[in-house]
Amino acid sequence: MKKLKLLTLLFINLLFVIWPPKSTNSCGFYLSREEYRFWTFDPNNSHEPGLQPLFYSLDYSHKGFNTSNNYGFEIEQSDEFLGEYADNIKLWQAYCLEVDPSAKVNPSDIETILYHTEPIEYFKIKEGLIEQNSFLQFAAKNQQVLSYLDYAKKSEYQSNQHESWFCYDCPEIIAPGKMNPGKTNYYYYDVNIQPDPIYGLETIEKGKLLLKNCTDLFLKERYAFQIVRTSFYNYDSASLREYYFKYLNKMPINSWLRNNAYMYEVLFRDSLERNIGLTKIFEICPDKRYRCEELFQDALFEPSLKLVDNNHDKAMLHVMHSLQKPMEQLESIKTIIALDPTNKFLPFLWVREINKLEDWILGGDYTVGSTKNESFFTYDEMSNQAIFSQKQKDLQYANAILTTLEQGLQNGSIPKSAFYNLCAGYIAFISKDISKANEYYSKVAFNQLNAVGQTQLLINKLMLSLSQTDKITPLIEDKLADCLVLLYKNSAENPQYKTLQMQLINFAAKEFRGRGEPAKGLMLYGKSAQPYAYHPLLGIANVYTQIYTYATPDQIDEQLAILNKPNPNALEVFLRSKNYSYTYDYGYEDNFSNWDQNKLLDIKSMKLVQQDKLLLAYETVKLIDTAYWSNDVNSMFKRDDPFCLNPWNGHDPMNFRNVSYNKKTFLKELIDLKLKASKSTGEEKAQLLLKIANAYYSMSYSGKYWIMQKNFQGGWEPEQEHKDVDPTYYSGARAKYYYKLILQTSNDPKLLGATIYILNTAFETNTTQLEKNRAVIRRNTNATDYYEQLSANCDLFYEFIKTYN
Amino acid sequence: MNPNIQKIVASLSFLLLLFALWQMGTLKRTSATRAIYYWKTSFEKNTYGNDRENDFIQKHEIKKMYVKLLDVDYSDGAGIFPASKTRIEYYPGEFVDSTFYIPVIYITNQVLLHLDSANMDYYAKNFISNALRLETHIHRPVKEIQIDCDWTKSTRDTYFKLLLCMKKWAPQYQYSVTLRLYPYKYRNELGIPPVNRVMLMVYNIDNARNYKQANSIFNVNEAAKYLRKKNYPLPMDYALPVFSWTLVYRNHQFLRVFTNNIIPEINTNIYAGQIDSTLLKRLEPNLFLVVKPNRGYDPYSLKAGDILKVESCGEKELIEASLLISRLPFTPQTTIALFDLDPNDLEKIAYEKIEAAYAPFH
Repeated sequence: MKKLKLLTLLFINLLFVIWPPKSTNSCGFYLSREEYRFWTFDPNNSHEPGLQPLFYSLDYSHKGFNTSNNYGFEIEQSDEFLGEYADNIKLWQAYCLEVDPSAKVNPSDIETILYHTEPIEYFKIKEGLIEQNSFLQFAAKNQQVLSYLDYAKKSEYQSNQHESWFCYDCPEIIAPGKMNPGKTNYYYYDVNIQPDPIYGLETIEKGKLLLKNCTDLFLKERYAFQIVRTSFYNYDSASLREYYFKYLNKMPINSWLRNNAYMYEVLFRDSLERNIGLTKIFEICPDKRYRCEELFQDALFEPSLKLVDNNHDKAMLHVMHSLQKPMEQLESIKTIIALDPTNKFLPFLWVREINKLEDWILGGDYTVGSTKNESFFTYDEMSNQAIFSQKQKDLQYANAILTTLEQGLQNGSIPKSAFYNLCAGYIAFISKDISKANEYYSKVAFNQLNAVGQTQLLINKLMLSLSQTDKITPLIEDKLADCLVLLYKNSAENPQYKTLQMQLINFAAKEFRGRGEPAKGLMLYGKSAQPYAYHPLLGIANVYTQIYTYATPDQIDEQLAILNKPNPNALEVFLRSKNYSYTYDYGYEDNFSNWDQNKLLDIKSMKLVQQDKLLLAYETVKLIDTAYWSNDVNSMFKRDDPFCLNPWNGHDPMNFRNVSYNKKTFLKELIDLKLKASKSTGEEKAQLLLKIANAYYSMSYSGKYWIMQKNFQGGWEPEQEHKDVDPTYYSGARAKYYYKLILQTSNDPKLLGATIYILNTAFETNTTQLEKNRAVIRRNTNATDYYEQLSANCDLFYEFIKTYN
Repeated sequence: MNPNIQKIVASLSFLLLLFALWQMGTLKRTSATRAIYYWKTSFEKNTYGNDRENDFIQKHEIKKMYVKLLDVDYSDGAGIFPASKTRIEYYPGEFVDSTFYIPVIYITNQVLLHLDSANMDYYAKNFISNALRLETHIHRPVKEIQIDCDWTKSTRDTYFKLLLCMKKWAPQYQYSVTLRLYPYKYRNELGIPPVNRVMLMVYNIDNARNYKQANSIFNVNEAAKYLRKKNYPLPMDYALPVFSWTLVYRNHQFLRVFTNNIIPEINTNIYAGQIDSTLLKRLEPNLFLVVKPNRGYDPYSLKAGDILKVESCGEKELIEASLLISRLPFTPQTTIALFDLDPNDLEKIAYEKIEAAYAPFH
């Protein structure tokens, strides 16, 4: 039996070797999945600052995260100076006035000295700074302050990342003339701060002396903070604890100075005590939440729990534990409610579960898929059955959450507040229980909600309307426009509204497309940078890619009409505004462009060419401005002769006639050729057919003028064996048809031989088919000879082309 | 003339010609060792990535390369600290690299002013081991270590003690120091450093810290004044200038120097060739005001209001400096080094001129 099992396993493994799961191999941009989670329920509803919508890495769960969107770019000062930095600047400003009521110290000068002047730079240009910076001028007049600032900068250097003497590749000198060689295999950058054994300890001792001689309480506390910080980075736990407990521990609980020092003190504790300390800081200090969550050791959650004796602290440990878990956390929420029903993080935890449901259940429909499915299956393995069954489980989980929430509202363990009714309504909506969603939304007391909550209710009701309607009505359009404009207007106060607006657009676009307004739905995508993550073009996709992929020629006409109508409604005004030019860098303000009607006409012509409606396509491209044909994309094709083919390389310009085409002139010539061919016979017709066939080949995937049919080439193109996806494009079926027509029309041995040569070279890899094609000219010795000559001498084909084109 | 005499004269002339050719060959063989300085924040040596640098080295048969590995500075904020450690990317591939490498440590005079003899061993060891990182990467020992320092009379003793201390910890190496024109001339006051050789730097005359100063790199008339004495008690090598630098001033104070002309780089958008004229304002031909930092790409941490001064030494200065050293001592062991290996500067100078600079003693 064991042998049978072994054989079975080996056989399964063999199957995997022979038929490995398909993986996508393509070059281009890759976007982090976390940039594209679907959420609309704003965590700011929970009134706890410093927390973001759910994503699956800690970086995304707090304000102040870094993403590729601002990588390499200067962070705006205003963004950086939220929180404790701003508090500190205010404290310093007040202090300056207290010391010298006539002092005119500019807050931005304080900011420059404290946060934008590196220690080495500070000492190098101090004289110049004193001349120009009002804060340093004030300090220069008050020697105690200047001494403190000098010291603070020294401490800053010892406490921040800096170049140290230590290096892995340095040989180690162990005695005069004796060395251990350096290491060759190491990670180049050492991220830890290496203490300076000479200046580090010297700085701590100097600080103690300065503090002792300082008479100013404000400065004394700051000296103590600098000593604590420097001690932390120089592993001097005794000095750290002494100065923390003596000078800082009793400061007000909301003091950033105290909380930062507290953080250093906690980080010196043993791991279990450290977990407890981090939990405490997380609770009281929003600015430190990200760091606490990152440093909390979840593996020690159970033993940490045993060390605390009151329910509130236990509940807080459960909060920290719950935040570490990206999957279902309803049980944690129940435990926290039981331990500490008024825990201030409960609303956020509910929001977080809602965000998870949005991602798992709605994600696939309105953005690019759900995190849960992606974590279980690779992209190509995601079978519909697997996704369906996972979604059923997620829906059950949504029901479980709703049931718990409803029970809590009934038994009083959860307050019957507007917030919780809003939560219940939205969970019901996600669970597709529309009537219950309506019922809960009607219970929400609008006035009890703050501005964020009121906006949330507006969004949720709008989503409900969009999901209930059979056909999009003018009223819904107006409501959507109002909501989108409202989010935009308030995005300065709440930066998350920019993302929220995009999510709502993704949602609305899908509903519009399914409820009778596909043209407008597709136009909506221009205002969102987040629906394209799995599009073949990934980050460089834009609204035109969506329109090319999904719109019909009639819908494009409808879009053009919207762009030109004299009295647009509010939504149409919104649709007519600028679009995201590309989606990869959606954080940039200059990443917007006006609608390009020429581009829309161009896309329409591609659709018509795909259907071989050349006359209609020609009528469409005639409407395009002449300048459009000189743009970056179109000018790439102007050196090609699409009527001439090198069967070995379809992208060879073959421009012996020195011609230059654009789509309009190309279509015109192709139409003329087809008309002439229809009216001619014999060899004249055969030669025209050769040009027509070449032109169709040029418009195919392998041809040089593919732009006639496609808006882009590359990305995840179907593989060779998937030519049936679009035979006219991928297989060049229309071109093949015309080459075969030549064989029925011509008696010219050269043309016949060359046509077989083209068919065999450009289309066939199958030996049987190659022989079959050759058999067509079997009885024509001259044609066969010419075919053989062409096969033996590549240059001869160029001679043929020059003669026949 | 008697035909026999004619034959003898012709034969003698021919022999004389052969002798002259032989002599020229001899001269060529005894010409200076050609060297170059590599003075960047990253030392990159690989087969495919440094075509322009490799081309220069091969074309001019460069045998030695002085690679700056460490900048040591002092700050009231940091104490004595490694201001810059050169990153090493050494992948010569299949080519045999027979270049002699000499790691160079640059130490500011400020370091000497604050170097306590109690900590001398600690720093000497760190300086050496940071310089010898080069051995780890090139997988062979170096023979010489060079220290570049503009010492003064007041720091002379500390400097010499430091040199001896370094020798104590790593006696297996030869030591050389760079010698500026001032200590060359005022050798009685500034002393003779306790090393094996000196590299006379025929440049860096004026004070770069003053942004109103004209070209501070080289002035032939000024330099000549320092070279009246023809001998020095130690074997001498010579460094000639071919470089540009950008001096950065903030709040009218000298902040730092970059050893290349950074203007084209910071004036350009992230897309090659696109100039953003709003970033810099030209105040004078070689003086620029940073109007706003380049948001797309700025590895130089500039701030609005910074003043940038660009100075360069080209063909003219190279020839002048080369002529100056032609009157100084020369032995078969003498090295002539160009400062530094930057194709942007070197490619502006004709091949023959570079060759001539390497052979000033002929």
